[in-house]
Amino acid sequence: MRRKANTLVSLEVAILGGSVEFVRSGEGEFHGYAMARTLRDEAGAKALTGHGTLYRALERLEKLGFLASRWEDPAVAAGEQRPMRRLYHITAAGQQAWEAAAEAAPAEARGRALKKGLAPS
Amino acid sequence: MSAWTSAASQLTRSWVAAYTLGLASTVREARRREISSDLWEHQQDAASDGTRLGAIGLSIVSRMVRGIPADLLWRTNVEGPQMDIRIPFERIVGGLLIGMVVLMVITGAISGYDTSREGFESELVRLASLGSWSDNGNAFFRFATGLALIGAAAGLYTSLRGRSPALAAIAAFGLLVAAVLELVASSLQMVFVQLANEYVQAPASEQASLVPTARAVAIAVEQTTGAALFSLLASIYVLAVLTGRENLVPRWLIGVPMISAGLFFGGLIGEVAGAGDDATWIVTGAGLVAGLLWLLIAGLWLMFTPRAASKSAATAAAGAA
Repeated sequence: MRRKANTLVSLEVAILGGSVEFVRSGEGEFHGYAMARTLRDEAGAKALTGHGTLYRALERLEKLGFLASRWEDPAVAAGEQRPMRRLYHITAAGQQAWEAAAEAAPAEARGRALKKGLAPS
Repeated sequence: MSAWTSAASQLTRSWVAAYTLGLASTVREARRREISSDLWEHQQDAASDGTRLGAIGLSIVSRMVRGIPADLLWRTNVEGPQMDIRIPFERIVGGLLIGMVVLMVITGAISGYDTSREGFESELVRLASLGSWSDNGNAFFRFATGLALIGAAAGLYTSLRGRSPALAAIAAFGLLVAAVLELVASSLQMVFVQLANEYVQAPASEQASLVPTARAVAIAVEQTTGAALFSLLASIYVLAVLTGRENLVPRWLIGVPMISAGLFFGGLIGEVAGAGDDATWIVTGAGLVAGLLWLLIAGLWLMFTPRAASKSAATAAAGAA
């Protein structure tokens, strides 16, 4: 069954939550692996999200206008002798979607989010 | 980086290369770069945490495997206007045709039991003496061929349905029938081997009672394999018509499957008419070889010649102009 165009699945909501956390921590932007690590740590899980699952969700959020991305300056990557990163950041629409999702979440989940400082103020 | 971690990363890169094959270069490169970056970050992060190298490799493979369904869904959604279908399309079809050469050779080669009444008991002894590796290998190849034929049917139908839905469906159906027959032959083969082993282990007084059943199974194996080959050849003829009509392969190449069909059906008619076994076998075999020859030439042509101007592409170009 196809899901509705603007319906977010739990992973996508979690990514938006993680993106908010990156903003609050002052980093603002994040790359795919950093998000996978954040999701793992937030969920208290052992395994990182699968590549396909993660990047498909990131792409969908970008298409919905909730995330935006850019490729970092190649000189920076070359200077650090590593592959170029694709850096994502949450948009204003993404912030609103995250707030709406957090409002709609059950009270228990909202309480957990508040405890972690993730819920909208 | 350990060899295992390196192999895990390479496996993931290969998988990304496989499922992005044929996409527009910008889309393909973006995905490949992003995964390469992820793999690098993952290894650095895990190594700095003191994770064992073996566990890092396992984690990479696990992420790749768990992401496969999403990768396939992503690929399905990306296909369409962004897909540069012509070059990979031809190469994919060519690769599948060449793959079918191998499948046909295996299908044809794994047969040849002497099921005549006179020599059948020695045939059972010969089969039982082959050893389990050879016996299991035979059944395994039949089984693997069946599965590969299902893959070839799906691949060719997906690749060619845009050119001619009806012909692509008929060709794929022929391959599916051949696949099912090969899987049945694989099971029958195992039964036959089991009966041969029982025959040599049974006391002389009980051996005779096993022979009719074993012979019936051997004949069933032979006929099932023959039917699979027939179905494969029928698919080849349909594929020859489709690829010729679409100018994917040179027009003159249609002569090869026509000769193949003439020889193969001539051999079958000769057998029905009671012609000599040797003559019908040679004529039918020549028909099979001609079918293989078409597969090989068409497959190599599609894979290695410059982009063929297909009828559909030409029509689309004319429409756009």
